[in-house]
Amino acid sequence: MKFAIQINQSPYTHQSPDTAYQFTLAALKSGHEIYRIFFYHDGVLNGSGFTTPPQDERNVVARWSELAEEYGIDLVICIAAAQRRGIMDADEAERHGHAASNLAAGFRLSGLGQLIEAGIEADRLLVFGG
Amino acid sequence: MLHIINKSPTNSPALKQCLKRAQQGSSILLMEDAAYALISKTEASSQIKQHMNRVSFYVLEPDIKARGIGEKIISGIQRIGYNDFVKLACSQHPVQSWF
Repeated sequence: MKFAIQINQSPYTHQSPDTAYQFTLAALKSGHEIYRIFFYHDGVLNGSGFTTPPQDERNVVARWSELAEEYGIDLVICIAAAQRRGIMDADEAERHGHAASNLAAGFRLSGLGQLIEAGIEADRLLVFGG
Repeated sequence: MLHIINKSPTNSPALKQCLKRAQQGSSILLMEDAAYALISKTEASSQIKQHMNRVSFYVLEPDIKARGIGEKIISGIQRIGYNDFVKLACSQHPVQSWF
């Protein structure tokens, strides 16, 4: 089965990114495919690469990056939602004159079309947090 | 069809709205703070009881445990883990989250 996941809430304030992660992990370990994870609204903060929690605490952002690397998952951040919240890759940061970029490894910036396409291509679209 | 609710019934009308529209034979998964809706002798759990004969109810066991309400929830609810959540999402179509 092909799953698409949409995440709308920020980590550390809300539980939904954790639930989405546990669902994704369980689906992958059961042999299912995750077609794409789309981060929208405050959910884009899941891709904030400067996130630095204490070392003995789960790192929600790094956990996504590791999952993307291990399973080759497409992690897509809504570019409009990201700009409002200061999440930028190197190109965007340069274009807007910022000193550094902070998009975490394994994530990419794109538009809402990616969410629509995921909804069409996947067998199921699950929405977490709203 | 699988309905997913993640908000406490005291903070969101999602459960009420979902119960009103869920069709016979559909499933409702309560997770995160929505688990509080299952505490017995509350308005939310009595509403849920009224729909048990036509809708299947599930709750994520880790969320029940995290909130310490395992002994307090009404009977007739299927407690599941993340693997069963995946199976549920596979067996039901479509999947709709309520906020």
